[in-house]
Amino acid sequence: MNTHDKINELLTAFALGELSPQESSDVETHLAECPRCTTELEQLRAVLECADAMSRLSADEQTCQSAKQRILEATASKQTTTPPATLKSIWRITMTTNKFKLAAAAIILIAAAISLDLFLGGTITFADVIKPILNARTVVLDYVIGEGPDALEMHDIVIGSRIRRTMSNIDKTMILDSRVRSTLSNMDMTMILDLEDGRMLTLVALGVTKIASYNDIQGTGLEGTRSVLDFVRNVVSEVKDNPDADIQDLGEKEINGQKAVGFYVKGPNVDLTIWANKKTSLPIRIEFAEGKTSKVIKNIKFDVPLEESLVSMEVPAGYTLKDIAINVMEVPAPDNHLSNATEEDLVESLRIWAEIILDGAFPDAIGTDHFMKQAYVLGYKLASLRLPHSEIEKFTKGMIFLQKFEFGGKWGYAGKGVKLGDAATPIFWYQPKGSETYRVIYGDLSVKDVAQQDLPK
Amino acid sequence: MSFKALVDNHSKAVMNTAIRILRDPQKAQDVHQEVFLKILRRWHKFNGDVNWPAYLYRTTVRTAVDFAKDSKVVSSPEHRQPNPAKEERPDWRLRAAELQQKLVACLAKLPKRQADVFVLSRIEGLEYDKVAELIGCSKETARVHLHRALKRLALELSDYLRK
Repeated sequence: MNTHDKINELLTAFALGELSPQESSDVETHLAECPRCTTELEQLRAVLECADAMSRLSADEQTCQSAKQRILEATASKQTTTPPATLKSIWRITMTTNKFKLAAAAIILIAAAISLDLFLGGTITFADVIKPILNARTVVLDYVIGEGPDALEMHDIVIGSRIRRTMSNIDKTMILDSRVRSTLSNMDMTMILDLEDGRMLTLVALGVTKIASYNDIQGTGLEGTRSVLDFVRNVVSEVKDNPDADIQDLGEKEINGQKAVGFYVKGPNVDLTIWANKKTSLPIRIEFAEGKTSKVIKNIKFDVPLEESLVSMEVPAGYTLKDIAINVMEVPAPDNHLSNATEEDLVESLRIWAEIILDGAFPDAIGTDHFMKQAYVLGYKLASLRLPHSEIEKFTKGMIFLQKFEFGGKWGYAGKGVKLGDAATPIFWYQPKGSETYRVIYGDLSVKDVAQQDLPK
Repeated sequence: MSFKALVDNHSKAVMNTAIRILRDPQKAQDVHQEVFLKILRRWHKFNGDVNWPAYLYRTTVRTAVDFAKDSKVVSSPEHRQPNPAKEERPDWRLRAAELQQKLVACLAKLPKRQADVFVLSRIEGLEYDKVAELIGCSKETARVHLHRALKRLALELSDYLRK
């Protein structure tokens, strides 16, 4: 990234007065010689000034009183409508109506059942179930991405804004060198993430060799590194106060020997199924899907006592601190990165997969699940190939482009077994928003517009 | 809490948010009515766990932004606190009102959370932690939303601002 781009990314923070004196001075120096950034800054400031002017408006007392009066008068009639029949009023109706006197015994039984249910904790509501999701300070969970025996598993211990993360079932089949593969298989890797400071401490142990390294994680890297529970929290926060939200009661089922009650929640971008222990109302399993990838959060424990040392950012005894130069997490700020990802980036990604990582062949599958399963190994390969940062960035952007329409768009991939340069075989196709035809990428990475009926079967 | 208590406690905040976005007391009253009627219609669905300030902020912002989409430019000097730093020129008030209306129209095009964060942070003047608490995200996420919203608004308004 050149100086202009770097400074340009800092302009919003500069306009908001969030930069350090040194950063501010760098921006000012650049502004003196860059009319484009100067204009952009003026526009940002104009928006802020406009918002500032709006913030000084307020309603006078008389307008407020009249608004209040209006709503209370409009609602007075609705307030006096008959309240729902309570148990007491049902009892009164029953005892004063001959016809119902015989039913008194039944009513008593119902009353007993209701109080028994209350004694046992009553009906679990959606609000009960999401309470720990929203409020827990410590959480332990397993996060499974994909399905079947090969699914990637992430194990998180969350204490406040820090996470201790280990992964299992990482796919290493792409590493052809058997020595490297076996080394990776015997290696234990733990990541400690400090989301507030945007830092990660990686601890790698292979027999007696123990290495620690620090990395900065910013932008997309930081967002993508958060605990999956943050994501769930955002979805439930969005729906919990929304009376129009679609929340369905799924009834009961048994999960790992525990009686569980389920809720299906239609979120703004993703639907969640939350299963909670019937006795404690604590969530024990959360299921959702993104695109074709199923995701499950299981073995969840909330607010269990945990040692703070589990998430210490200090290098533990016995580990040697190394300075690791290449950091795949160092992607640019999310704004620039996400909105700019294009079809060309995807073509570049496919080229890097085929040309650099897989010695001339396209991967068997692409998609978020595949990418996430392979991310660690891809990071290793990209680093070991000493690829320049720009190549890593292109690669990541291509995957981000795929994600943009993966969750809801129409696309297909058939690159398995196809060699780079095969101009006759389509490997990837997608339908751009608003387009009637599809864009098809071939094995030689050429791209053509193709009608739906001519797509590969 | 009774519905009347809810209106008593939050009526003024709803009016202030609505008038900041719409500038027109009559329209702000309409938003106020719409927001509380919407709650009343579903009163039986709410339980004791509703975070009313958060719910009301979000509903008011969205209702007001929707109202603003088709509104004409209104300059309402009587509801504006004077800004001593700004020298008044005859066209300034109309130009400012026009820019405010365009800004609100652009807010309607932003992703909801970005628009919420922008209004809560820059128009309601709340700190990041309070904004994060109200919309249910981390402070860092709220910050990222504000940066994105600001950048997008400046971009959307760039043609108008260049005039």
